[in-house]
Formats: sequence, structure tokens, C-alpha cells
Amino acid sequence: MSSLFSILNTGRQGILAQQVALSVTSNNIANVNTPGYSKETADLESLVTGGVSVASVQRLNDDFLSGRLRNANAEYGASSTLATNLQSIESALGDSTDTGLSTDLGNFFSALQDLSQQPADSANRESLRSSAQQLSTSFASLSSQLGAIRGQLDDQVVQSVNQVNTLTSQIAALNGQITNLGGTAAQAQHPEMNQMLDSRALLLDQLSQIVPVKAVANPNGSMTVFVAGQVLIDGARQQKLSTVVSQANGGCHEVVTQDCAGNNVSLDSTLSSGTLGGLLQARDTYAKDAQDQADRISAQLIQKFNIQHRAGTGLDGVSGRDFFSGLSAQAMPAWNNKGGVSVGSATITDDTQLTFDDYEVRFTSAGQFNVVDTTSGNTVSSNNAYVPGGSIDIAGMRLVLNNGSGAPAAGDVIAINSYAGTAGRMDLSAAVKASTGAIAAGQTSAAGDNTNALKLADLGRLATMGQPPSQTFQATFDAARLLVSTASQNAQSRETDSQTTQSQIQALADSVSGVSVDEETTNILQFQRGFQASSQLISVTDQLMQSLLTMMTNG
Amino acid sequence: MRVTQNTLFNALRNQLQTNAQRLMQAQETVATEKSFNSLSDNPMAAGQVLNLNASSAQITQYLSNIDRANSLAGAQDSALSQVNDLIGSAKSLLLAESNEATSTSATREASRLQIANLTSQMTQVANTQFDGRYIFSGFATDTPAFSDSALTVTPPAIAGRAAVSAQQVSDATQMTYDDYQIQFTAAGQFNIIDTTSGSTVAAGQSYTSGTPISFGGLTLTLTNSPGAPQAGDTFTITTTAPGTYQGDGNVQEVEIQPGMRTALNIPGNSVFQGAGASGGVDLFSIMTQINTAMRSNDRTAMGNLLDQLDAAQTQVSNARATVGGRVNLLSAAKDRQTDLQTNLTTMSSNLQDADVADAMTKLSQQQNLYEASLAAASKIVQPSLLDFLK
Repeated sequence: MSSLFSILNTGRQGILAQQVALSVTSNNIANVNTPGYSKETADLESLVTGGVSVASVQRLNDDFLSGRLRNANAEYGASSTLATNLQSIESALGDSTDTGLSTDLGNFFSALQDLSQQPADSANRESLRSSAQQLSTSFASLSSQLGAIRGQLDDQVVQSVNQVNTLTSQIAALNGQITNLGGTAAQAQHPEMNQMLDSRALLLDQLSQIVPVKAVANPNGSMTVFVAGQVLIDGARQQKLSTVVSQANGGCHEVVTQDCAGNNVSLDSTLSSGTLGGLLQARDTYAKDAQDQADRISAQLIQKFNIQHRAGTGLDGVSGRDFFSGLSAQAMPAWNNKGGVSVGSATITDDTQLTFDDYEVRFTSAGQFNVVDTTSGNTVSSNNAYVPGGSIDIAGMRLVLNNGSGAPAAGDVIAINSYAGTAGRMDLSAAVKASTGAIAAGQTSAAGDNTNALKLADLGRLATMGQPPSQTFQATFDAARLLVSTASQNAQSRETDSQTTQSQIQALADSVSGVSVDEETTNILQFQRGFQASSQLISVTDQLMQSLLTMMTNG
Repeated sequence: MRVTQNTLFNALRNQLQTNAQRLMQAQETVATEKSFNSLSDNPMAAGQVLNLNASSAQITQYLSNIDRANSLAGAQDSALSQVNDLIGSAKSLLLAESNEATSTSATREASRLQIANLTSQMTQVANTQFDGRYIFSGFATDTPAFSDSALTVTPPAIAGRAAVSAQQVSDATQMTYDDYQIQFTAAGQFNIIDTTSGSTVAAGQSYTSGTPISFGGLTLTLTNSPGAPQAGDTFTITTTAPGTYQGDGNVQEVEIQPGMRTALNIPGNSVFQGAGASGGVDLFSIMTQINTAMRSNDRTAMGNLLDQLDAAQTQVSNARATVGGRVNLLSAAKDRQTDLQTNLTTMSSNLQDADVADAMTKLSQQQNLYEASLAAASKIVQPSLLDFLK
């Protein structure tokens, strides 16, 4: 049963509803370029008693697409970081085909051949010495460039971890606010929640670029966020990531979180995408491997060359001299050792025994340890008794451990090898620097004896690198370069592909929650007409009521 | 699919960026004329180019070694050829003097002097240097291969009397290679005795401190230090003929091809002295013997020595043939290596060089594409509903 007043009421409701709808439209238009903004629509609902009301202001968003977009972001973050950094690693290794360390190696062995033509000639000897110096300088320069790259990557890792922590604290706070308002069930009553949901989604997007996240929506409105299987955000609680310096990893930082039991867990090897994953991969796989390879090549070159050089005699009749210097043993405790064992000293006792494999001293208890060759996987010796300050001899190296801040605990590991950092230390021996006459070109000191020079030159031509020897030094270095170049090419094409994927998913997401100016403009017209119609209705009803009143007054 | 302004603008940005990147790559290819500029542009080809370049650099070194070996072989061949000529001259002298009809003591003496001269020349040739190093000394390239004639003077055991202040071979052609003694008969008088033949060279010579004493091609000076020599003081003089080998028998080698080496030299003791071969003859010993035979007119010896000179000439010719063989080997190796290097360079260039015409076409293609995408962008951007509402 409708009276004039009810018509008036209906008109009033109509005006209000169109007004709300217009304000929603205006909000959409204002936010057309706001990143992360999801389009809102006013849900107009017809009332049982007649009329219309705005049931809710709905936020249009597809959670499934959001999840896919986050994955795409992580993939793009990883591949673009890798692509950029692999290019700088490639650059350090030498990105042209006719200059760089590879050429210097070739020139060095050529200079040896020149020496074999005229072994006592001081010009040839000087030329050999300067090409050896050039080679050492090249190695040192490569080592320092790669070290700088690793350092920069490490800084970026620490910065990224800080960024992650900032983002997770903001997301956790939003989680708290949303839960306090009553969760997504209370969205109708609290239209301001839309903006919180948008903010949280935007923060999650930014987070997903840095680390690969898996976000699960909870019934109470909060989102639980996992990274690499570990909890990162749980309701309003944030799990902070921290960084710990690891000497075994060249002084770089490990990214560490705490698992449910409170143990420190490193994420370094489990973060497979996101810019942080890309940085870790560039730092710990590509840059580290390139540096290790350069170190191994220089170390084997120094070792084999010195052994052969010692067998020859200089012009002054003295034999047994080294040509190069720079070999040294490095021992590093692992970052998560629980005991207090420290490294006293690590030296090379017999360079003819060096294998250039990686070794680990693993403590099985406070007083016993095994020695394992981690490169080949063999256990070198087991159940050795530990004596603080005692010498541990491993493959030509001697390690002395002390109870620096306490005794070792079971599970503690000390890594030791004979190649780390050699490229940076490589130099000529003091004897050769002092005089070119110290260069042992011959078996004897006779002026024309070039037999040792020929043998030294053979070291460059024959496969001398590796245990057992399988490649020449130059080929080994070129192989390392090509490994990085191939990875770089792959990263570049991954970057292009992932960018395309990201754009496509973004377009899909936009089609659900993006604001189309044309559409909103049409909406403006629509609601304007609705408003005008309702107000016209009110005006007409008012006239009708006046006629009625006039009728009543006059009669 | 619902398309919003954001979608359009994002797509526009991406496409312009992609086209700009492609344009930049096309430009780089044309500017550098290389189909790839960093290894990651084409790792497979880059790997091959690295190998090819390394091999080519190695060959350049081998070619340098080959050139060195060739130069040395040239020097050796020229020296050996000279020695052969000298032996030929010695042979004709010997032939003339072994003919009883034409040989007189005067001709013999003249020939003997020439023989001594030829010996001296042979020593010089055997001590040829190339690039500052003796070529016939084996590994001892800073020592002359063969010694010259020399003398050693041993003063009497009693000190404080005369000392030898100077001694030298003044005229090698006069040397008899005998041993001598200067015997003081009185404070100011001495005799010179040839102890090998037992004859007296000079008797009753008066002694003045510091005045040179010359005999048999040798000159020495005795000085009071401080006392004068007394009766009974004896100075012993031993002489050595030229031709003691001072080098060693080692052969220097260089690498001319991976794993293949060639000799750079022939040791002097094998060429000139026949060391290490059965039936070898010592040329210098023969020349010394000819000297002695002519001096004593020993015709039987001279006939014998003629045969030995023939053997020496064969020995030197054989050495020349060895050097010649080496030169052939080097020449073949050089041709082979040069061809190989040309092939490697061609292959490397094929992999790395860009076809300029192709690159220019691609560049203009990309430019057109870029301009077209810019034009399309400007068309998309303009219209929206707001322009049409009034």
C-alpha cells in the first residue's frame, strides 16, 4: 500500500543511493592511476519494503590472480636481478674474445717459447718476467673485481632483508587492524577496510618481488605468509629475518630466520626466486664459482710451474727456486658452529701434495673429529683425537686449532682448502723479481740450455689442470667464462619471458580490478540520470502533496 | 577481457621499450660489424671463437720458432760451406807438396805457412756467432766452440826472482806446437831449447828485465821481481794446437708444432771432430799433423793425411745435408702452419663478423618498426569518452 509519503521516501532513498554510487564512482576516477587500487562498486539492493539501498561497497579483486601475479613478480625479480648481475660478472671475466686473462695466459706461455729460442738472452728473460707479472696482475685484478661484485651483492642482500622486514611489519600491522575491525565478514559495515585490503595487497606485491611468498587467507581476515616453507607473517606477528656473517662464505651474510623450534635456519639455498633469491644465486653460485675457478687455476698454475721450475737451474747455477709466490692455506669456521673452536693457523707444508679440493674438519664430539674431502665426498680420516694447539696434517696443509672461546661442540665444522684467494695473492717470487738470471731455463746453468724452458712451455700446451689432469689452464678459464655467459644468456631470455608473463597477468588482474575511465564516465551519466529521475519524482510528489493540501485547505 | 587505461598504457610502455631495445641492438651490430659483442649474445659461437683464437695465437708463436730455427740453419749452412772451401784449399796445398817432383823446401815452407793460416781461418769459422751466441758450442753458447793456439809458461819453483809479465802467441803461423824451455846458464844469459825435438833454438841470449823474448811464433816477457834469475832457473813453455773443443755435445730444440720439436744446432765436436760416430775424423788434429808433416817433409804421412782430409770433407758435407734436411722440414712446417692459421682466422671471422648489408637492412627495419609503434601510440592515447561528452 503506497502513500504519497512512501513515494517521497522512495524518492529520497533513490537520491541517496545514486549519491553514494556517484561518490563511489568519483573515488574510482580519482584513483585511476593509484597503484594497487581495486575498483569499487556500489551494490544497489532493492528493499522488500520498497525502495533501494546500498547494501555494500564491494571491492573487486580476484585473489587467485593476485597469487599468480605474486609468483610472476618473484620470477621476474629473480631473472632480472640475475640478468643484470651476470652481465657484470661476465664483464669482470672479460667479455671480448681477444683481450683479458685468457690472452695473458697465452702470452705467458708464448714468452716461454721465445725464451727457449735464446735462453740466456736477457731481453727474452725480461720479456718472460714482464708477461708473468702481467698475468699475475690480471689474476689479481679479476679477483678484486669479483670480490667487489660479491661485496656489492652482499650489501644488496642485507638491504633486501631490511626491506623485507619493513614490509612484513607493515603487513602484520594491517593484519591486526583488519582482524580488529572484524575481518572480511564485516566489510559491509566498514567500507574503510577496502583501503586496508588494497594497502595490504600492494605491500604483498612489493614483498613478492623480493622473496617468493605464499599467502594464505584466514577466516578472520588476516593473511598468513610463508617464505620457502618458513612462516614470515602470522596474524599481527612478524618473523624478522636476520643476517649472519659467514666466514666460510668469504665473509658474506647468510639470510637467517628462526623455525618453530627456535633454531636458526639459513634461507640461502632455499630462496629460489625473488630479487633476494636472484642476488643470493648471483653471489653464492655464479660470482663465488667464478672466483673459486680463478683461484683454483692460479693455484694449480703456481704449484705445477714451481715444481718444474725448481727442477731447473738459473744462470747462476742455483736450482730449487720458485718462480711464482702466492700459495697459502685458508681455514674458516662455519657460521653456525655452536662450540668455541677457532683457527690458530693454516699453512702449506708440502706444495707437491696439494690437491686443491675442499676439506672439512667435522667434530663428532668435543674431543674427536673426522676429516672429509667434500669435493670428492671421501672421508680422509675418522675418529681423530683433538688436541687444542696440535697439528692436523691434511694433503700438504697443516691446520692448528685452538679452543678460542671454548671447546668444540659435536657438529662443528672447520672448512680448509689451499686455493681460496690465490688469484689475489699471485705474484713473482722474490728471487725472480730481483734478477731475471734466477729464471731456470735449463737443466744446467749453460747459456744455451733451454730444456727446462721447453718443459715449462709444455705446461701450457698439455692438459695440466684438474685431478686427474684433463684440461689446459686456458681452456679451463674459457670454460668458466662460457658457463657464466650461457647463464647470462638464459637469464636474459628468462627476464624477457617473465616480464611478458607478468604483464599478461597484470592485464588480467586489471581487467577485474582496474578502473576504466570510459566505464566510470558512463557510470557518471547513469547515476546522474538516476539522481535526476529521483529528484524529479520528489518534485512531482511534492506538487501532488501541495495540490492535496490546497484541496484540503480550500474545501 | 575488460581493458582499462592502465592496461593500454602498460602495454604501450612495454612495446616501446622492446622496440627501442631491438633498435639499439641493431645499431650496435652495424657500428661494431660483429654479430655478437659480448659472450652472452651467442655463447656457442663465442666458445668456438675463443678456441680458434687461442690456437691461432699458438701458431703465431710456432711460426716465430720456425723463423728462428731457419735463421740459425742459414748461419750454420754458410759456415759449413766456408769450411768445405777451406778444406778444399788445404787439400790442393797438400797434394802439391806430396808430389816429390814439384816440392822443394821453399815451397813446403810457403805451403806450411798457408796451412797454418787456413787452420786459423777454420777456427774462426767454427767459432761463428749468430745473434751474439756461438752456434757450434752446444749448450755452452757463450763460450767459443774451439780454442785457438795457446801457450802456457811455468816459472821456476823458487819465488822472488824473475816473473812472467807477458806471454802470447804472436804469430800462429810460425808455431811448431813443440814444448820449450828457457834455461838460464848464468845471471844474464839463457838458452832456448825445443824440448820436443831436443834441438837448441837459440843459445847464449842475454837477458834484460822487461825485454820481450820471441821464438817460434811465441813472445814472452820476463821481469825481475824483484830479484834477477840465477843460473839453473828454468821456465817451461807448453804449447797447444788449436782445435780443443770447449763446448758440449747438447742439441738445442724448439717446438715448431704441438708436440713436435726440431734441433736448432749441430754440436761442433760432431761436425769437426767426428764425435759420436764411428769413422769420424778430427779436422783440427789433421791440420796440425799436416803442419808437422810439411815441416819434416814426411811424404808418407802427407799421403795418409790427404785421405783423412777427404774424410773430413765428407763429414762436413754430411753435416750440411742434415742442415739442409732440417730447412726442408721447417719450410714444410711453416707452410702447413700458415695455411692452418689462415683457416682458423677465416672460421673465426665467419663466426664473429656480421654481414654488413644484412645488418644495415635489419637496422632500417627496426627503425621503421620503432617509428610505426610511436605513431600507433600517439593514436591510442588521444581519444576517451570525455572528449566526446558535452
